[in-house]
Amino acid sequence: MTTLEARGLVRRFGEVTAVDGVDLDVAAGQVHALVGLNGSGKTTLLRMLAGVLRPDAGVLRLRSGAEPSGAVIGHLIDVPAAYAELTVEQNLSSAALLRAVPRALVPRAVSRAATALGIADLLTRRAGGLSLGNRQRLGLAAALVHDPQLLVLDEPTNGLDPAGVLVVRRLVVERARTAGCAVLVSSHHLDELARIADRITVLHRGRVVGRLDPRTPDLEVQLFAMAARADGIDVTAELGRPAPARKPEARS
Amino acid sequence: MSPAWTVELLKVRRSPVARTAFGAMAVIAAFFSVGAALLAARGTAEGSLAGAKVAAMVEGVGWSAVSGAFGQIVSVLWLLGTGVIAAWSCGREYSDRTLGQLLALPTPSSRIAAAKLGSVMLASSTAAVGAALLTLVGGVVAGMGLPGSGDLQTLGTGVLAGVAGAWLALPFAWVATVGRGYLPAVGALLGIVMVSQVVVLLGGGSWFPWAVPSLLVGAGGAEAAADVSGLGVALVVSVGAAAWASTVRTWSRLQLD
Repeated sequence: MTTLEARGLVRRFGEVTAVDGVDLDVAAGQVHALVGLNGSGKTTLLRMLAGVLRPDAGVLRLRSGAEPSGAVIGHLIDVPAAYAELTVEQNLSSAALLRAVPRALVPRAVSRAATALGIADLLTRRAGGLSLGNRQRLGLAAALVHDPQLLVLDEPTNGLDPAGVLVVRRLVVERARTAGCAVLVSSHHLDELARIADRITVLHRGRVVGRLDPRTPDLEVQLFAMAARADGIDVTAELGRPAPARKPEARS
Repeated sequence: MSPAWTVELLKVRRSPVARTAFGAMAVIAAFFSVGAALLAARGTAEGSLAGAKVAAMVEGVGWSAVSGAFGQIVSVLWLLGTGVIAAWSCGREYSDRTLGQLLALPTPSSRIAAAKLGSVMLASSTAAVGAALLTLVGGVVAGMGLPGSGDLQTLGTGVLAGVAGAWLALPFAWVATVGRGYLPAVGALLGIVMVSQVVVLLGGGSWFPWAVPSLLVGAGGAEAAADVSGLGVALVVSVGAAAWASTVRTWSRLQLD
């Protein structure tokens, strides 16, 4: 079982501090959602947690109890990476090989990932000819092909039709509940997150400003209120109800 | 074969950019070499204006002219063509937004960079050998008979000039990496070709690495070839080696910022 711990993560781009002292835990078997308005620092934070961006300060720890087979982390951040000149199968095989899947097991891993994302019938198609939704499915399959213990997904349902959204929702929950994977996911679709997340952390201007309970209604209203409150704006009148009280500790 | 080499060789093999470039380079080299020799022969025999012009560029007749012209065209064409492919190989990861999938992997990004450079060198060298074989076929089809051992040796030297040109193209992979795309590297490549021309005109070609392969295969005449010093050859080797080391080092520190 793998658990991710982040403590005091900071990342600056010139004079702009994109992530400012974030603490975060992603536990094995749980889906942890990260929400925030545009420019809140979600993608920067996810990049650091996936290991593709170095923090300026802070500590990132992976605690693996089980033996990792191949790479521990699978990630889909920004746009799905797909080489247009390669077929879907070649893209997935390449992803599996680079993620240390033993060569003899690659065909089975590719087939399993493609089936899980519903693109098994597209294996011989060139990635350059895929629709946006199928490219997204390919990107997700590449993130899962090596059976990672930690999954970091940024807007995983981008470009997907309702059937695709359902596939991703089931897959994320199955990875966490059945495989014991630690899943960190960001999205603007709060109703979607409410269905799959165990915890929701709100990020605003690079800081954790609170948590949302996925089982409560009006998550959107709560998010806006939390962001406004962090900016020192009282929106009680506009929202028609009191904003949820900010937790004493600013970081989670 | 390591995973990085498997993946990078696959990308070069399947890429329309690389296929078109290396295929075109091989065909152009063969066509130019045989065509130049035929034109030069016609110019000498029939007083053709085009033939007379080409005759001034190539030495000898028949296979001697073919093999000499081959080295001259390959030394320049392989620098240009391989430079574009080397730049594309690294720069595309930025422009296609695929870089993130190459970082934080069990396969270190430095190993991926080395595989990129190695794959480009391997494809380019194979294309140079293919160009020589096409030239041989072209010459035989054009009625030149079979080449002598000296002509074959000159053709072989031309292949080596192509490999040297490809080696000198590796710095553009590094430029594409630090420039975060292939366009800055293509600009740098054009700049180097122009500077090479100026340096040769000013008489400094014997030590300028990017001019050395052309001069060695006789592009500046026998005298200029003899003037190429050991320092010039050492610089050719050093430039490629430094580019390889710099590119691998830069890739080892890459992040998605």
